[in-house]
Amino acid sequence: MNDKILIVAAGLLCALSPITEAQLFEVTDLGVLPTGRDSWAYGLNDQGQVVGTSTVGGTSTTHAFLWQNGVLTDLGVLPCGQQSWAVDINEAGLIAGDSEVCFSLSPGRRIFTSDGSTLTDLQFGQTRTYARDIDEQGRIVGTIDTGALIDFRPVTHAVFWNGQSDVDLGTLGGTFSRANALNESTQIVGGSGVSRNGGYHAFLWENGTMVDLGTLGGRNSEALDIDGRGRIVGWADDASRTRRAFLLASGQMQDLGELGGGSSEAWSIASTGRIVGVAPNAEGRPRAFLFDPRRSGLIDLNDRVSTSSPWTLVQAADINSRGDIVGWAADGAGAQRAVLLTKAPVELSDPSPGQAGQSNRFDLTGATPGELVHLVFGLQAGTTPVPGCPGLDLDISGVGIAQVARADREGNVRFDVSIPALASGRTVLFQAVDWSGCSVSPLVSVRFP
Amino acid sequence: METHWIRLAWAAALVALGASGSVFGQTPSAGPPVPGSGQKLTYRLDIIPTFGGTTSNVSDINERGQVVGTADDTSGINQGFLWEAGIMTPLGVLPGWDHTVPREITERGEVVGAARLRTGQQLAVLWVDGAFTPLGTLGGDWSGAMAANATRIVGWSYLIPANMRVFQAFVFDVRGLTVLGSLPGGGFTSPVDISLDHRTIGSGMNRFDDSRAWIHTDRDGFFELPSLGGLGLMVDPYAINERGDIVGSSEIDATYRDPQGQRVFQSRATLWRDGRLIDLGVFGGFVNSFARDINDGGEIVGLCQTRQYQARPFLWREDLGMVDLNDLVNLPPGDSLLVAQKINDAGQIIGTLETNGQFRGFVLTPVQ
Repeated sequence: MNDKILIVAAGLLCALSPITEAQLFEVTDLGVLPTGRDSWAYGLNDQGQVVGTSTVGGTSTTHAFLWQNGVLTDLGVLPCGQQSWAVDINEAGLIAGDSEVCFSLSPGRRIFTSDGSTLTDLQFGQTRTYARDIDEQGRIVGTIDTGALIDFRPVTHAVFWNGQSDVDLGTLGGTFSRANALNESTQIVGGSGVSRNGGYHAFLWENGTMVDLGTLGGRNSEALDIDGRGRIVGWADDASRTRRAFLLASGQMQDLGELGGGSSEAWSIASTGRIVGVAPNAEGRPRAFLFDPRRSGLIDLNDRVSTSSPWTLVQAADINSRGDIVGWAADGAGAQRAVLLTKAPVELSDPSPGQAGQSNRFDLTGATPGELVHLVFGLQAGTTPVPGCPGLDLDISGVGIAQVARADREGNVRFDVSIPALASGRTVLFQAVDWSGCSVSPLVSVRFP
Repeated sequence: METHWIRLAWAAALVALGASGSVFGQTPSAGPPVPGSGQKLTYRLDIIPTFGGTTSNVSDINERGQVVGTADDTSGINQGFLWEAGIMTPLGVLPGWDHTVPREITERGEVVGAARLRTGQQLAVLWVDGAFTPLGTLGGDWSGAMAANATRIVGWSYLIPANMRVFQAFVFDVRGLTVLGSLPGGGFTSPVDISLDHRTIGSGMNRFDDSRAWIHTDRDGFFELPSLGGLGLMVDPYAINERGDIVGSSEIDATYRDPQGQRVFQSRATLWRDGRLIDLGVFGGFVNSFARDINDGGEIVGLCQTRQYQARPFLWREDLGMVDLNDLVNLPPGDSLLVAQKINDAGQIIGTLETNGQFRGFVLTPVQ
């Protein structure tokens, strides 16, 4: 009952003060390989390992990279190739990508896997294979050259590498298709030409059958990612011929909105349901966005980083279950750079020395600006799941709520908590929960004298 | 060097002799009524002459009505020209090169394009009042200037000597020549137009070898534009106006087959406007359409094409839809307009027509 009152009171306070989104993410510039100018990050895992591609020799050539613990490593190229691209990394650290290889006239392309030190040529396909996604079993999806030519152009199809052999997934009736993502249940999504209207549609391939996922009323669509629960994201044209980011869950294709520029594309969905992508703002400038399933509308990630950041976040490409995001940013002078966005840590201060029988001050930093945070307490260490945040636990068992407040525009909260006199001589455990950011502060243990 | 001056003098003499071409000034009787005005949309036709040869081509027109292009001389060699009010002026050639191929003319009358050898090799150049400035390359041995605004020229260049696979967009301004770079993930880029506020558009291949249209700004770098068709299909942007509208064409997947039973892709004139992607359609009986230019009033010109590559020029306006320019002009019997290439803000349109079995550039000027 008291909690409810507190929440309502906090809600009123919020309604009275304008909320501006402020710092939530810290931006890490992943750098470029030596002599390069630009880099782009495509995938990351929950360990925070990031893969992508960087130019070398100015802007002319690109090489696959692995970034971990602050170090950018050139993954090299397959024998005789000049360029390579890394697109995804699984939890075991296995990287998928593709590299140029030599053919008689023009360079071909082969899918590789890498443990971070050597590239292994998977040796399937003819002259052009491209990787898009790798799962925990090391299975890969992408595109493959079928060997056919139409109008002198090679026809490429969606392909599934099941670990032993490659499976051509075919098309929905049109000429070209591409597989963009797969999950552990062997559900594969991508885009394919359709036989009607010259259109291109998102597909789901499952148990040997490719299903047309349709559009939001327009001509084209493409599915770019699928999570472990079968939720699919991508883009689809609406009836006004505008490309819109969509989430397809429980059979419903939902338009995720925009940032003012009309269109949007969803590139990745995490197990938490958080989605990232790109959308132009009202000025038509591309912006990396975050969609949080507990809110409506897209969040411009540029509004969630320090205003002193020199980077303009122009594309969010992948998000992991911890909420870390990779993509690329513009430096304002024409170059683009791979970036990693990590959540600013939620830190709770220790009111030492604590005083029983009076008000004690706890300061919280790094919370989601403008959102509710709970200061909780207990007497015993243990594990309590946080509702609505799968996989997130408090380090306290038998949790009570000390106070509820709303973070200010900088993500800061000051709690003034009345500690009863009977706490004297006891140790009390405190922790803060940021519901919107799905994060908890480290445990603060206070022994009241 | 000597040849250059001889050629210049010869061409100038030709112009002085009155080889400036025939002018058809008739006002046509037909044409669709302009909604709300009660007037019919009609044009006066000017035909661009040659330097004694059989063919002239137009590349651009500015707000002053100055036109640049190329025209054949008696030996069939293409020469760059500047045309203004019926007067042809040869642009001359950069010493050591064989031809000048102009691409665009600015409001101040500066011309950008390429100096070309008979082998096809070319070098980006700026022409101002008869003087050429070679713009150089980004390390390779070929380059070309494609468009310019008041302070910048954009073009493309090979990056590596004797490597024709790697080319990227450049910008030339007071800082000299700078590479714009690649689409996200790498690939080649080639610009086609630049707006006054330095939004550059062009085409390129991304890291999946997908053909893509792009927009580039200094602040944000490259950003891929959507296309009407899916991957594997070509996108061909051509022009951006000051509103930020972009026109060009996108291929779409085709389900019909050509007479040999082969699948053929179709192209559709495309307008990118306010985040929307608009298919401008195609004339009945034609399979392809291509948009080539848009002015600040939103008027678009281009062409439609049959399966046998016969072409018809179109004007597209929101109030009229897609109209065949042949229906808006009185043409000499047997002549037909084939392609509309550019439109300025005054509504003047340049393009190519067939007259007496020869191909010539034309200028259409709206008549009240």
